[in-house]
Amino acid sequence: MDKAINQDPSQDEFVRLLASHSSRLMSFIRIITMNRQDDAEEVFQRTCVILWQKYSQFDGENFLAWACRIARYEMLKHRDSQRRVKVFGDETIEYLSADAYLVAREVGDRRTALGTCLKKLDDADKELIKHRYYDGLSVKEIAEQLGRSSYAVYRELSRIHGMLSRCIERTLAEEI
Amino acid sequence: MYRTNVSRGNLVAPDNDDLSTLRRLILKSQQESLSDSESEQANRIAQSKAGSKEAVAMIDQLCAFSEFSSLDSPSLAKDVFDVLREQPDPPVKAAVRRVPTALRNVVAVSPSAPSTASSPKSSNYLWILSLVASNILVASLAWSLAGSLSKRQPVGDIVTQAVSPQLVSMTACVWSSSDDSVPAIGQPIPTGEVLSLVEGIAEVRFGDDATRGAVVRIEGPASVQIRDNGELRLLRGSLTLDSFGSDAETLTIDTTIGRVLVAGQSSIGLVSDDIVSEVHVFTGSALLNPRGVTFETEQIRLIESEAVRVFSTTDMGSQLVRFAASKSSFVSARSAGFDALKIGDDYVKAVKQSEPGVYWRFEQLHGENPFYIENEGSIPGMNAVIVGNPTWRQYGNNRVAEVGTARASAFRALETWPEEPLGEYSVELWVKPQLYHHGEVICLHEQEELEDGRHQHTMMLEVTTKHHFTHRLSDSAPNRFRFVHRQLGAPQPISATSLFAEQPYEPRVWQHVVAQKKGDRQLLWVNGQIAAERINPVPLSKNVQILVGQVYPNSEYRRFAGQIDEIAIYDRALSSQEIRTHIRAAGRSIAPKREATDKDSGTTSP
Repeated sequence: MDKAINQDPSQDEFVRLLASHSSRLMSFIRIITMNRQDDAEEVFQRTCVILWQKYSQFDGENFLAWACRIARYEMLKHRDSQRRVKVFGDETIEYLSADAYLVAREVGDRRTALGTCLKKLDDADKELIKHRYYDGLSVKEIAEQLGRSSYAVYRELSRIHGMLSRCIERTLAEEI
Repeated sequence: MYRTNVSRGNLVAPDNDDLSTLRRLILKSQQESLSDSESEQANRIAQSKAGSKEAVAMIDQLCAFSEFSSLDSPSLAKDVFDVLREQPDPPVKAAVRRVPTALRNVVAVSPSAPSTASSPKSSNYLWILSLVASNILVASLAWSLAGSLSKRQPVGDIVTQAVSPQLVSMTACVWSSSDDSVPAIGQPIPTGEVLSLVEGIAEVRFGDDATRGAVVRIEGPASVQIRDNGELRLLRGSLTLDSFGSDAETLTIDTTIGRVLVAGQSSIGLVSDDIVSEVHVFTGSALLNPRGVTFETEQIRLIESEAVRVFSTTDMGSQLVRFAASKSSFVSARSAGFDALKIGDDYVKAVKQSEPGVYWRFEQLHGENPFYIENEGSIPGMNAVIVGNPTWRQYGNNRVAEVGTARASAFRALETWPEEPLGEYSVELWVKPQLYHHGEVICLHEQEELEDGRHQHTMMLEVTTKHHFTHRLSDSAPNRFRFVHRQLGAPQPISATSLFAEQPYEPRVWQHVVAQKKGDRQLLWVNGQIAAERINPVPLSKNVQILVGQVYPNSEYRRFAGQIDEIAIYDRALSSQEIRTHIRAAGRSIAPKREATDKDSGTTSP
């Protein structure tokens, strides 16, 4: 029962909803695909197709929640088709999906908060973040340059990300 | 499926070891494959409520940084650029960038020398962004300083209050003194005299009632002085301060970097050494009046959760950076009760399945004169008789023993063990040191006392600190668990019997420790991982006595200060699987396995 897209009166409404939620939906997908861009794009495309195919079933209440449910299902299907080792099992993805939805809803605010929180890091921590993410050095490369173990660098990065997470939550809470 | 009633502020729980481990594993998974056990650990933590939220927050940050790098959704870049646009022209001279020396000449991005270390997918555009981002880091710090200037408050607005100090409590304090005089509890501290606290925590009271003044906790090693006007001067080391007065009542502390004015109802931490000094404000506010600085500010006002670090360098003078205040940097700011050990039936069952000969749970006192803890292991008798007055702390349904914090106290078995020398054994326990100090957690000593009151030991498990009573340990790394195994009467040098854990122990945090002899190997396990190992073929001597909390039964020398629970002693080597099963049965996670380094190979080999 294919929809004739160019004849469907709900097309404009669907496009408007998808456009207004696409960045949040993509954020959700990127989280549950563990920031794998290739997987995220694949799942995003599949999800958009399914959303349109099933748009008649949308209850009109919460487009993002509905889209994220479908995206999660598509993600699980997609990774079943991959032979890659999965970091998180399906059950864990269930847990993450609920929280990923909450994060995706406010992704814009979170990016702003992250920018604010980066400023608050001490400069040694900023340097490490910069080397890893802006300069694109691998953990191994950083470890070699610093004469430290990779484990120590992972641990430092973990600590900084933890500080940023808490700072982001504090910043968002203050803005309410 | 989706929770909608979760407030934003509650999304991420307070940090803990599990969450830290989870973040590290997620980071690792971005670059390499996780082992089965790592994957299992990540899934287990992520399936908890806090773990799930932490994982999502963590991955979202990675997404943000990826967006920046790939430029396919440059929202982060936009926000960071917005931050830059909001700033006044920064006095770059005032900002500090502490680039690790090893990296400084390799990857730092500079306008005249574009980085060659960018990822292969970097484009020219990305390089430009990296360059701008690099400048943003500088600019944002300068802006922080500018902010402090705009918010500064004249010192004249604050009432400075001089108060007389008194020592109110000491925890495992060792003082260094040129004569025999050491500070005593309840006595005023003489002005002008420099007090050197070698180890321990000394609590000093300023003011004479609970509504004014402050309590200062000095963390050894530290040197302080009470000036003639009653002000405290921190010469070196760390301290925390809680002030009780009203907002307008300010206490002044003199430090090497300047005077710190602490508002009433505030809680702060100070660190001072020759090169780096820090002021942390946990609650309330404080004002730093720096001395001899090169940056363009006269006063730095800090409010809750803010901290400032001042570097003193010979070539560039003093430099300043702001960062987030950290209570965890101060042992005395952590509550002794913050890490709860909730031992339940699962743990007891798991330990009993391993059939310990001695198992002291510290749940209930029996007998009278002396009181004792009943042995739940297989060897008849071997109860833990109380020495002194240990205290108790309850974590849910679990009770633990606290020794040495208020006064020396211990537990000992009156009977001897083992009947024959043992080639293999394990001593397993949970331990939470109150602070960094040199104290005996548990030891097995010869029954017979030497003429000078000491006893010889065949086994010792202790915590060490920076300053050692025994100069023979002075070459070892400080703040480590130390495991000694030797045969009584055997001519072994001390260096051939000691094991020091590779990593420092954590004060006020529960750690699972197993001291073990397995064939020719002497092993020290901390939180389920081998922390140190050596070849040591000699057996455990027979007919020795178990003593917990101090090194000699009739002396307070080298007492342990902290909490202890679930001591189990086995006449065999527990397997790694058993050790880890026990830890998991306590609801705790196994520490991540450390990567071997060149340094490791030097310390773990005989």
